[in-house]
Amino acid sequence: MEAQSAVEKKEKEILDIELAINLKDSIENSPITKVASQELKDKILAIDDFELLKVTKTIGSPITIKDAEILNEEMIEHEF
Amino acid sequence: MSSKCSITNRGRVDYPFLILCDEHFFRWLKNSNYKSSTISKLMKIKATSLHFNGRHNIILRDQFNIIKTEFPEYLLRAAVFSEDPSPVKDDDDDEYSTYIKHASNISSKNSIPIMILTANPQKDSYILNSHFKDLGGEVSIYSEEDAVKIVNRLFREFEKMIELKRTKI
Repeated sequence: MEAQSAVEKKEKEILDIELAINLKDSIENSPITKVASQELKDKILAIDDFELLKVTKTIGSPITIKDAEILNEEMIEHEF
Repeated sequence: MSSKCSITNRGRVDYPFLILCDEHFFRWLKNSNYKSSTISKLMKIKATSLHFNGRHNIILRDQFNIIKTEFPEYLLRAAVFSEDPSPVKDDDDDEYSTYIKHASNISSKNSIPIMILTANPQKDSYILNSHFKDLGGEVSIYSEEDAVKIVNRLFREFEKMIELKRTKI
């Protein structure tokens, strides 16, 4: 358990922007991409292919998708 | 230009030209009314480029490292790809010569036109640069609103791809 938690601590959480079609492709076809919950996976797969998504993920092996929300122009206006 | 565009089933677009942005364009964009729409369009173009996936919109690394302190880095990375200047750069080249040489090098290597996007105060520094004068038209310079129109022209190809995909469903 200690070794496992040490590995978990090493995982780095990052923010990334992806087009939904590309993220869906990774989720469905990449063996190293996992989604934190089935609910989140269903939510992502239901999003229009050409929406931009703000994705929270941990990088490592596997890459775990922790959250994804549609990045709209209001969010860019606010953050940029 | 748009007639060259071809569309694939996987949501990729064969865009007819590349974009090379400088830091001055981003600083102008930040204070313009075009900020969010143009950044969003750059992100979608970069993510769907058939032959230059992930590196369709370029900025040179030195300038990226400067502006990433002024803008959220994860948003910048989604809009532009940072890369080192071409090996043809000389030590005494200024930023304009460096950008022009890089644009020319990429254009000739890939047989595709490239548009440098900048701000109005810097446009003449590109146009009057001796390296730019030597080029044969494969590199063009656009600033501010005209630069936004260039992004819009590429984005129209993205919209065509979506329209085509939806009519096939």
